[in-house]
Amino acid sequence: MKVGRRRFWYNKPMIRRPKNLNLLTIRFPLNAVVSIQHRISGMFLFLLLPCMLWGLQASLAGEVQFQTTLGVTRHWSFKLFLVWAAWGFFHHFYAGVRHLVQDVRGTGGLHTARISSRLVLALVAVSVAVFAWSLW
Amino acid sequence: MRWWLVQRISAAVMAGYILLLLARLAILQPKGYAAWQVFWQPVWWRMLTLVCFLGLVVHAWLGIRDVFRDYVFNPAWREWIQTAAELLLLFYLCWACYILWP
Repeated sequence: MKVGRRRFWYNKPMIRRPKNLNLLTIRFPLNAVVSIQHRISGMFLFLLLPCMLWGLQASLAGEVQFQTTLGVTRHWSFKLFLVWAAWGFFHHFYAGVRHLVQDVRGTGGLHTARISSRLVLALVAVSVAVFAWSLW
Repeated sequence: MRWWLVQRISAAVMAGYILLLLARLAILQPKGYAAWQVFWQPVWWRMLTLVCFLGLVVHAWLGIRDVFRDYVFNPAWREWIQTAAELLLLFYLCWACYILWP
């Protein structure tokens, strides 16, 4: 076995073996996309936690702070950020509900899983669109 | 109890709270600071918010623990990062309590 140099982030030496990690030749199936986006949006929401807490605290701190917080949310760049955050929330929510249903009723086969994936993506798109529309 | 089940239950708790929050927002429609304060006044609502946030902390804890287990291979590093995330979540929980009962 050919052994390469040690990686600093992994305690075992690297084993050389053929890999196909050309991302242009790998295409994720729809279910995998929904699944990995659930994970990404989850990490994103974790990073957003202090922002949410700060927003709630500032909006309840007093009349002046309340108006300042509202003023910040009226800026177009912050609205874009809010739409992004809404994507994270809606995707995590709908994909999570899909996972819960799958836990209870089973995946129901590949065909059903693909349909539910499409349903999740459609619901996310509609929800984010409605949110953005009500924001502007 | 299995931890994955805890994650599912906390998810269901949060989903219920969010639906209740949307319903309350739709009914009360708080406009302006005074109405916003009244919205957060009831003790039962603050309690429910705290329960939801408790669920959120547990859910996030299990979620990022799984992510670290998948992507951080060095056990010593993973231990450190996980402990840091746990302390951060504990701090958020204290912060939420402070916001709800200043």
